[in-house]
Amino acid sequence: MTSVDSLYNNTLFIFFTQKSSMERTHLSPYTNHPQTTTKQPISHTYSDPGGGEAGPDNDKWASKLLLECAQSISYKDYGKINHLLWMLNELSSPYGDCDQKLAYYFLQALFCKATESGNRCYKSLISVADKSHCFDSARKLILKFQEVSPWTTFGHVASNGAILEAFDGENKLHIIDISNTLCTQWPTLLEALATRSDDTPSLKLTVVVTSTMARSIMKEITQRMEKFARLMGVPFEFNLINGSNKRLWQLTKEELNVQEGEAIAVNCIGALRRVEVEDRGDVIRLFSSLNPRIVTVVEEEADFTSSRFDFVKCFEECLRYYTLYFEMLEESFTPTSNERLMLERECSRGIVRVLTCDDEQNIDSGDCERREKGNQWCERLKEHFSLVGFSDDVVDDVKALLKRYRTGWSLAHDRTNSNEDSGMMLAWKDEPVVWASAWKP
Amino acid sequence: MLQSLHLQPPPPTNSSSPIMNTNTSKRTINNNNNNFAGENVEFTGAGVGSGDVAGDGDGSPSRSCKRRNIEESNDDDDQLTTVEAESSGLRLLGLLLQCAECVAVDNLDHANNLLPEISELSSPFGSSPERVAAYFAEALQARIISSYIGTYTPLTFKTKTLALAQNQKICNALQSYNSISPSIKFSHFTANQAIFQALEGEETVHIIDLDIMQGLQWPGLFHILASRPRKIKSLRITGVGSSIELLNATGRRLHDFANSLGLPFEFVPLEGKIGNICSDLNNISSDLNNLHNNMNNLNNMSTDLNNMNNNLMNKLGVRSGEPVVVHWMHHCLYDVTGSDYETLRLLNVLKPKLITIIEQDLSHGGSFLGRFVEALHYYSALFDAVGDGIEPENVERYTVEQQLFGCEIKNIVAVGGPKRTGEVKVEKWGEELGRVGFGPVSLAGNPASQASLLLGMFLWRGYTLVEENGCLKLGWKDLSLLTASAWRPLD
Repeated sequence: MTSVDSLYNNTLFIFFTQKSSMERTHLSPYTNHPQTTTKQPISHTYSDPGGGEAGPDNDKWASKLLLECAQSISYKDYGKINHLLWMLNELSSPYGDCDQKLAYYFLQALFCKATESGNRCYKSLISVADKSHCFDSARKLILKFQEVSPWTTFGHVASNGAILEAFDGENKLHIIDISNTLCTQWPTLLEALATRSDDTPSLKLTVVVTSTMARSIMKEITQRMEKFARLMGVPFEFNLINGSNKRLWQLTKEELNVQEGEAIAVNCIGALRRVEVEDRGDVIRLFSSLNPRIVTVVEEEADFTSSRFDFVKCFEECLRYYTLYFEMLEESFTPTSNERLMLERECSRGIVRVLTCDDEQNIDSGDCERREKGNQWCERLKEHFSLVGFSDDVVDDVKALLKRYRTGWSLAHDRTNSNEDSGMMLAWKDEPVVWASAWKP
Repeated sequence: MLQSLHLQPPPPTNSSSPIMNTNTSKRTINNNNNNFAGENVEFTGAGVGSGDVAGDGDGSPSRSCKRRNIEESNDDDDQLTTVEAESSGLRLLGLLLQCAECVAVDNLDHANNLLPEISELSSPFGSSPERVAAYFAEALQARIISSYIGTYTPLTFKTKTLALAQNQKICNALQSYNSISPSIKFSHFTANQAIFQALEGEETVHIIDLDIMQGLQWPGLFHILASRPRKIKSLRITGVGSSIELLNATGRRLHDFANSLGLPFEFVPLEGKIGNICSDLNNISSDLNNLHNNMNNLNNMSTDLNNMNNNLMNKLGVRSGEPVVVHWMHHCLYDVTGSDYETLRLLNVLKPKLITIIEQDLSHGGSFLGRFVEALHYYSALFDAVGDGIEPENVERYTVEQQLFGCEIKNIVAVGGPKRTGEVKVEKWGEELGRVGFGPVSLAGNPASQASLLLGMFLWRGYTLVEENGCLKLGWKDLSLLTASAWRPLD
């Protein structure tokens, strides 16, 4: 009797799993693979996939499983892909610990890759984020992030320092700000201008907003900035320009409101990576054509560009960078922080875009997100500019800034260009994370 | 019919306690349907009570009452946020149901498209509806992916370190849960009282706990047994669990505690699932040939059966003449019983003096959509309950929600429900036991008093206690969460 029972139960289970897989045959080629439709009801216990300790046994189980899965996808090993996606799906959670979160967000990307639905998924993520973003929440987010981590303030302090020094003695200042930091950089600069010993110069601020997210909320900024400048007693003019990434390199002096007699500074924070790879040279040429006194460039230290035709290599670098970022977020925020959650969700858009969206398919919405490392940007910028070292004062300012945060932050010694200075590198737990540099024609 | 004995002391008449009726059993269920305002007709049909997701921003109707009473309802700002929160709660609810409907008809692409919006609107650190939605969205995402992959079994950790780490996480979360909700204590107290009563006149006892985990229930029983005038001559517990290391650790702990009370104690660890132990022992292969041979040889079969039963009794540590008590508490964290049919068969063979079970008032099977809607109601009430009076940033509550509730929700939404197999499951153990020769033992006496004492504590206001047909039901504002019942063989 009992053998009939268990036979009955086993049969039910086979029937059960097969039925659902039969209903799925209209999906992507990946799921149609013959191996996936004849599932045996073996209990899928964790087994060592061979070659070491890859699996939930250790710390950092997520990286190991994720990398293996990425490799399996590139070899088209469907059985293994299946197995690993299943494990990741069981173990991941967007609300758990760091490993679980990384597993969740990268699983999303791997899943999109395996089902070739990256573009659709990205568009959906972007449109949802667009709808729900509002000025208040974006501002709250940025301010909170700046409060708990120097990730963004590092670049601000370094750039402001370089800009102020380059503007020394000038009266008509024009800063062209190509960034998406909601102008959180400028109050300190305005204050510094107001407290300069000689006559307060006038400042024209032209903000070029490139990120799709930021554009919808920048209008609120105009009023606030003008009010603040009035308070500081700085003659101020504010212009807002919509610079969609495709068009950025096509902007003209007129559109940017560049006039004779102005001392120009171009401030570029986290914006170059949002430009399509082929257009980056042109954007830098544009900067050069404006004849600025100084160009400040701040970018996150990762390379998703040189490996963009090699899925596994790009995946490895993505995983490395975002692991650092997520760990940094976890240590900087409280465990139940909504702001940290929003930042993590932002990452998911970047991850899906970089890993699963076909660059050639001309995606109109969203940002490119293909970061390059400091030394790569240096190569590009050297064509039109030469590096300006940060003065001791600025370095001191940055060091003082870092002291205000929790331990773990430091200035890394840039190892790439041994002889010359190639900018300043913010490091977290000795890993370089954000690169800041200043350039002159 | 529900007989609500107002076992809780009536609330104080000075309205400093803003929640008006803790004895809400008389409150009509229809009250809450207004919140749904025609959003989803099928939802009101399935609805039970106050655990509505689309409540106000705090997720419970009583909270908005609280607000209006305290701030005298002319505060425009507050009403605006309440209205906003209500409409976003409604929107979340609508999206979740839409998504579930898509999954139910296997329209996975569309379901996948709805998830980003649901996720964006939800958060595990927000209001009650936002938190519930966050975990249900996560569960739906996992389900969609698993449907594409075609593998539905849960991951079980074979490696020791991982199994232990996972168990440790759950145990820690359960301890936190114990401090923010009376559910665990309710289960322990009522069962222990019932067991104590059943052991009147007995000097020995053998308890079989089908899911012992850390054995937190038993020290309480040890205590009351030790204070009995008639001494216990032998106290044995067979603990069933997934990891022998954990079982041994539990056994050691219980041993130490029993020794400190002077109780003669023995622990029998049993690794595995109770319903599967039979088949494990008998080495049933699904080979058709074997079956044929057995069918042709009825005599052999009956001997086989006897042998198997004996093996089983040995494995369980059962001794003749000793009264046996079987106990377990329902949850959806993982499958406890394995084969439900085998478990029933075992109980029938064993004929224990008492069976105590604590069941969640939640279906574990049936159609996906039905299960989903019921779970949405259930966990909305549960999230309301654990969130009541606690600030949204509370880490302990977040841990409980993420480790326990989130995990359960994921299992409920997964293909196959919490058992995660295609096997036929027992829905209501009480009814099933009734069918195989057991009859109810009423918990209306001491167990009910214990429970009502527990819930009378200020800490647990909002929880309701109802006695129905000898069973005790713990609820949150009329939505029944747990049912404790006891059974004995009818021979």
